[in-house]
Amino acid sequence: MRWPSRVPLAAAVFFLIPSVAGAHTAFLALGSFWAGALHPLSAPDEIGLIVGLAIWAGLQQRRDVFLIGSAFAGCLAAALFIGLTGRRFPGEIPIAVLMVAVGLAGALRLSLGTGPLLAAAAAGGAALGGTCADGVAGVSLGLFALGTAVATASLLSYGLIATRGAGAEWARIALRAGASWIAAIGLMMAALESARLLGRL
Amino acid sequence: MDVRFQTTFSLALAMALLMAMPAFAHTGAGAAGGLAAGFLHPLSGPDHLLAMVSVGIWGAQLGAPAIWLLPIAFPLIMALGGTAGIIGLPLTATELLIAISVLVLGVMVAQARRLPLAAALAIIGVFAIAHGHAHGVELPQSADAVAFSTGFVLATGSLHALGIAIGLLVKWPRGALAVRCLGSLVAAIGIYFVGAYAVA
Repeated sequence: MRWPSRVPLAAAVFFLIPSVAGAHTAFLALGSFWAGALHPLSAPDEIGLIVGLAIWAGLQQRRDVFLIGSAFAGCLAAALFIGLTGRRFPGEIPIAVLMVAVGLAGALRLSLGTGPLLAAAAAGGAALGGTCADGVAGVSLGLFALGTAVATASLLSYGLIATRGAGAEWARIALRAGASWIAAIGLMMAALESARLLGRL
Repeated sequence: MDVRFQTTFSLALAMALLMAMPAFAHTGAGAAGGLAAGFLHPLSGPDHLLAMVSVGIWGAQLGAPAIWLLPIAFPLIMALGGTAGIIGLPLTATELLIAISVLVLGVMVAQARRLPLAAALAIIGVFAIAHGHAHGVELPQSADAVAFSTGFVLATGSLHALGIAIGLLVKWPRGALAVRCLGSLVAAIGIYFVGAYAVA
């Protein structure tokens, strides 16, 4: 990917962040499919986890990106479906912990083989699916799940392709810096959520 | 994939997402408030601001790999300190350490001091913990965890990037001199901060 396409993409991410407040309710009027598709794309923590996973996998120049994407999408769809049928999932702490894990792995450019990467993709998909299902009512389960799966799988695929193509040294450094930021955000999120659960805030 | 298609797609995505913002523009509440609060937190104190910009400048003076390693490590270690502050772990003399960080980093920049990478990392690690702890303790209770953390880390990273941009002036002789003068100014302000802490 050449730089002109990165500028609007960065703008997209920037503009995405302030709209998180309405993520869980504002899109319901658009219909089940679009509500499902826009739900994860309007939450910075969920985007952070997907981007972190893409950076970690992309920096390793792996050929099995299809497998990683499939594990992610499969677990997301399963967790989403289970969540939409009424089963409660833990809150944002699993996402925060996974952000720390994939962020650190990306910042350190760890090559741990296929297993850990697949495990992170599956866990990430499950955590995101469970979170996306939380608090959503009055939607068509199939369409909502389809919308969420399509949106998250598209973002992950785009991230995997874009990061794999980062050949320049400065681009790889920027990706690692981005991964460290994702880990830092996840760490603070985990602390804030934990403090809230413990009644310290 | 065609570059033109990628550009158009990204631009369209940016525009589409932009349209989701106005609903929150007038309230300053919710996650938008949290993001703004998190972003402004590191910028609100001159001691924090000067220290973080100085980390970027010093990294640029040291060159690779410090130019990217210090700004990668600082937000992570600072988040660790922030975590300690949020969950209530005590850290003594945090404010003094922050004042000293401005002084020390100013001196490092003023002298263009070349330390081994491990030593440089240790120095900024200690200071990052102190800065992060102070932010964690002062955290607004109503903060949205995701938005606040995102804003906080983005602001910190941006200050480092600003420092690196300033530090790249060292490629030119006059630029190097200007950067060292800037370091002297930061060190002088650091002396004031330490003095103010001692008097208080």
